[in-house]
Amino acid sequence: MKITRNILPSIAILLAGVAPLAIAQTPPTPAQQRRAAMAAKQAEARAATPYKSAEIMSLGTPKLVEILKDANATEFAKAKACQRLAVVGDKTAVPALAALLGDAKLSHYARFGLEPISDPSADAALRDALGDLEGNLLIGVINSIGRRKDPKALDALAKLMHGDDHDVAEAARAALGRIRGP
Amino acid sequence: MDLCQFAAGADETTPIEFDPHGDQGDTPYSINCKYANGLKLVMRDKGFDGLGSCAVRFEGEEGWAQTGDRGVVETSESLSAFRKEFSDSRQATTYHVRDFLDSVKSRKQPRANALAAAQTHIGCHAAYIAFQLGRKLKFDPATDTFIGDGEANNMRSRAMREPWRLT
Repeated sequence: MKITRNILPSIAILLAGVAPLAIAQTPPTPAQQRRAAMAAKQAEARAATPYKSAEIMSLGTPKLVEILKDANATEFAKAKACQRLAVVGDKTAVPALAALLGDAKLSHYARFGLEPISDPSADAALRDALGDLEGNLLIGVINSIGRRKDPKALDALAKLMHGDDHDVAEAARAALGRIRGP
Repeated sequence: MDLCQFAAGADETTPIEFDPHGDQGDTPYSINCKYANGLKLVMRDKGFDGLGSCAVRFEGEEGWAQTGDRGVVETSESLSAFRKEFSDSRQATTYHVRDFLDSVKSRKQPRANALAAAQTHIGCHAAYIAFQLGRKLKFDPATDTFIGDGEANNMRSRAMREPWRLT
């Protein structure tokens, strides 16, 4: 019995020492690996970009447009530029923002910048994009047109409402409701 | 902020002025707000130690009282008769459910109703926009717009990521 009493605590101490070791050596799950890879990629992109987030958020429209046109600017920098343009942007930013509406990763940010610009050229840019896009990117543009309540888009939206893509048709129906509604 | 709006009888409106103090990332910071009737509201990130979350302090002509989720009401000497501790402070959510069920029976609005929640969120967002811009903003609660500040108005909403929309 005495031996048992002495051995059991020893085993417990041994296990207590091994358990953290075992946990520490557990390989990361696929999800953890993906998150780590994504974080590393984002950090690398931010370190590589010549434009820093805080700097971008203090720039005026001309500099922000330069970033959007800069082939070396990262997607992150362009996205931040669009966010900043949503606050300070004017009609001079519309062409550069419109050029991103077909970009799968930046289309949302382009609309982010375009929606608050009160100049009619922003409406025209969104209307022009209706014929060039499909799927979710088209739905996004339709949603932005609805939010801006652009009456010149009524005919184009009516056509889309009767198109083959059910989701696009639903978006067009909702946009028409917003434009014609109160 | 919802507790302040409730206590002030201001559930259906928001402050009309938001004046931030302190730079982004700094602490402490505060946003001094003012209602149309002159009542002042101070949103701050420090000074509520020990009261728990959702802490509020009310200051009036006869003294002050402050409380939070920890269930303690602290007061100035002049209002010491109102000092108390709630043993059931963790039951707040349960009481909200009871209040809602009572409102279904009575057909009256619950205390935490949709309009009160919306106005509170509008006020908080307006305060944060003032904080982000770092300048005093005037706000019209009737139209939910900032007065004479286009940049602030541009920050009231954002384009949603496709395919999402509000209908």
